[in-house]
Amino acid sequence: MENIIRIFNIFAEHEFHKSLSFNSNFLEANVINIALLLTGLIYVLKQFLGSVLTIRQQKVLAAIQESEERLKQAQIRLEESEKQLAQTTMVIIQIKKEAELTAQKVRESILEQGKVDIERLTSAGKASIAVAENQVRQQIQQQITALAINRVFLQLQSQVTPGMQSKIIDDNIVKLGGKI
Amino acid sequence: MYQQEVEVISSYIAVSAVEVGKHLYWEIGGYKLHGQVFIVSWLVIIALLSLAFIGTRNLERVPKNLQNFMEFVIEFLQDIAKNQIGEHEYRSWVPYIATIFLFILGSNWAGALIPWKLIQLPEGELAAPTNDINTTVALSLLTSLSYFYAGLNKNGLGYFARYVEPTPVLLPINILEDFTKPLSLSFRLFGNILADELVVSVFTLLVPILIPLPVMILGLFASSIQALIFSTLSAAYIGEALEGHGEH
Repeated sequence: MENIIRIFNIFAEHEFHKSLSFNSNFLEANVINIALLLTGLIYVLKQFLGSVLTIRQQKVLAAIQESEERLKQAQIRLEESEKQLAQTTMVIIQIKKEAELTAQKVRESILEQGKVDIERLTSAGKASIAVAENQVRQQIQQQITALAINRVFLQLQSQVTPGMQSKIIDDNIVKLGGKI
Repeated sequence: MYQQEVEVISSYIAVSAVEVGKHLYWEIGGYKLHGQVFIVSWLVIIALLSLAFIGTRNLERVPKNLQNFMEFVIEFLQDIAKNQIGEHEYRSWVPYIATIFLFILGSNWAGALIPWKLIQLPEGELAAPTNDINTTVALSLLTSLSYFYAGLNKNGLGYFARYVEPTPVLLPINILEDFTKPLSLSFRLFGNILADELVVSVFTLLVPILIPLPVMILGLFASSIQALIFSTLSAAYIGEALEGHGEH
């Protein structure tokens, strides 16, 4: 029994470790297998991931290029439409100016027309007034001559005898150079 | 007669190279932490952070090698989130899903591909952090928390109306789901990783050269699938919680 315990003690003291240490038993530590596994894994992963990653890179590149193309296109179209916008604004300004001018002209022509009409109307009015004046003057003249003749007639009636009458007639015949 | 001594001494003898259930204990404030889990987790975290940092220096319009790879990874992760959560709300959950996936994948592969046995700890051994049930339970509780948060954030207290859809008869089952979801997530991951590690170590113990290789390859494959499953399921639970009225 003592011997067995002693043997056990030897084993114990040999194996018992109290601190961190490096185990140099490679076989026990499975290093060979792990190394093999690691190399195999890296090889397989490189193959598989390599292709996947290059495909992915290509896709990303293609996507970036495509979006850059589209950006360029969109920019070109933007420039073109901006130019068109500038042109259209200029045309708008021109049209506005022309419209203003035409409005001015139309206004002036209407004013002219108005003046001409006014002139015409006033002259027509004046003419009719003149005509009416003439008429009235003529009428007055007629009236006055009629009145004057009437008075003369009355005066003659009251003053002229038949003897005077034949004398006047004889005088007139002598003046006319006729012989009685 | 000497039972006690034999028991005490036999615990010192390394009769096998597999130390299951032995952990490197750190004591902080009365709690015992599993140090080996923390060490490897920190290494994985540092590796992920530095990869992210380096990959995002000098970003160019046309991606070159590392940037291309990082973009590929991001697209893959966004796809997972988009497929499970839907077009409208997946954006804010991509960081969480991505972190879960990358952390689990990183820790599983770190456990399988780095010869940790070269470094001998005072107790326990370095291995994948996800072979510890605490890690996987923590991750699945995070998922639980996040789908609760997602549901409550979107629908308020109306989230609990989900428990009686489609029929109130299913209420106990729906409540049970809240417990089985984190349970299944954690155990699936834990079981897969620990089992793979055990099998590999047993094979290595028996025939150290070449024979463990197929099992190691299977282990790599299975662990990446597990990372994918964990993150996809988390996204699915979050998407389910976000479903809300009339979007079935």
